[in-house]
Amino acid sequence: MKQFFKNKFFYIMTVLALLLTIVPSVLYSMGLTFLFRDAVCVLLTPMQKIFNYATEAVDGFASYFYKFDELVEENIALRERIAELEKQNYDAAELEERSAWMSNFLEMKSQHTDFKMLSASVTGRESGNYSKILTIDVGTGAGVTKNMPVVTSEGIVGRITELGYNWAKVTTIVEAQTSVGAYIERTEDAGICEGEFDLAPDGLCRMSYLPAEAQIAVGDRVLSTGYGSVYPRGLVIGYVETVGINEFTRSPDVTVKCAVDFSELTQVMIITDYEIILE
Amino acid sequence: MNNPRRTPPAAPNNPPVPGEKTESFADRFRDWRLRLNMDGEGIAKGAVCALLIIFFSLVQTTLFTRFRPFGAVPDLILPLIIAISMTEREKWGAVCGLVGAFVIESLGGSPLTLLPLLYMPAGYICGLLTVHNFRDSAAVRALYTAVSSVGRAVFTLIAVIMTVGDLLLTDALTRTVLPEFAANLLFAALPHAAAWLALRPFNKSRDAKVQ
Repeated sequence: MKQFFKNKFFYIMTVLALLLTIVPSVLYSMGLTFLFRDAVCVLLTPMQKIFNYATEAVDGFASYFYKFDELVEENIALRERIAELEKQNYDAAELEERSAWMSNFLEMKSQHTDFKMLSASVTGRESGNYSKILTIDVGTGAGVTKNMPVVTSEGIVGRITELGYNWAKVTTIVEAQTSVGAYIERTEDAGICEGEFDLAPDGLCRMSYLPAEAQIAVGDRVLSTGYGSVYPRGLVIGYVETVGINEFTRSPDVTVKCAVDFSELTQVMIITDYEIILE
Repeated sequence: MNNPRRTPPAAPNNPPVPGEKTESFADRFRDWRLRLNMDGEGIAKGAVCALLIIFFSLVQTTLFTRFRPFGAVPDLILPLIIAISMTEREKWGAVCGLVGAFVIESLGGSPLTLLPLLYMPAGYICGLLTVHNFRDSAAVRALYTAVSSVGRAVFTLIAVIMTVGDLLLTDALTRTVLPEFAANLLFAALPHAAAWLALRPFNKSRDAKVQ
């Protein structure tokens, strides 16, 4: 062990480790992608996609064991539902279920005719335990660029923050230090939805900067304002979960339950182009 | 301070003494090589290590981001690096540590890249300790894994503080660091077993060569 600090090999490896630590972090902060990181992602994203399919299959099988109580309840509910649906044609119902995903998007598309959208699959999620970042299977090769909004038929997922040829990282709206211009649909009071570390695991974000006289109720729908040039106006962010009063500013302190369930997300849409409308 | 491997530079007008061996730039450069033994077996071993790193990186970023033991994703790469290091010694441990850290940071999507500073020294030190101090055994592997998991917990805490900023220490510990530590310990046996099985043929052939 005396040779530990006299070892050239250790010095070389330490320099390499420092380079691999500093260079990607600096490039990330500059909004650039490290070349080797891009290469690793280009090579491994297809494999990650296959692993993700396998995981979903394993999840389906394993859920028989670890979700037993939930499954029993679900089974009872399904039996009741089957009784209600007896008169309907089974094949038609199945087809309806299959097309539900796309029809939701068509509905969204009909509401926002200016949207140009691109579908993508979620291939991976963050493994660092402190951030909500998703990896999807499209990138610059499909015309995706940084800061494009990512949505589902339920609402906003987040925006593209890093990308390569066939992959992109989506930073979700619940991620700490992200914010979205938002307004309450019913009262039209505007504020800002911000991600917070302690709220993120529950899919919540905090809505701040609301006017002191705003009359907000639990369950109110929260939409994007379109300010900030990332998210188009009128997309669903979520629903008001709790309403309190900020003890310092005396303005409403609101937590918003995001409309999208990030843990169950498998398919998303990227809005590649839209008209900017500010009202 | 005499360095036995380097000859002093000759005076400008003095010709080199006949028979004296002067060191060229190429010699000096060669002296800085990593000296990893890359014969046929070394290449095969490298491929096996790369496959192990890729496999466990994919498992960590897909399977365990869905099934989160204790609500956290376990780090499978760190015990894998330790397992490789204990079997193949410090140089393989350090190189695999660098590669493993870079692959998991690239796939994992974390904005901050810190893991090379943990994995590389962990691989190197575990290899050295195995050579000089403690022989490879299940108890020693468990000890190294536990100690390195503490290191990982410290790095996660640093990453959380640097990424999130304004945060209570108790929140960071209870929500992220401690669940991750418990998950790491729970699943560390998987990479150890995989590395032991995958690198066993090379150990056998090495033992045969020694005999």
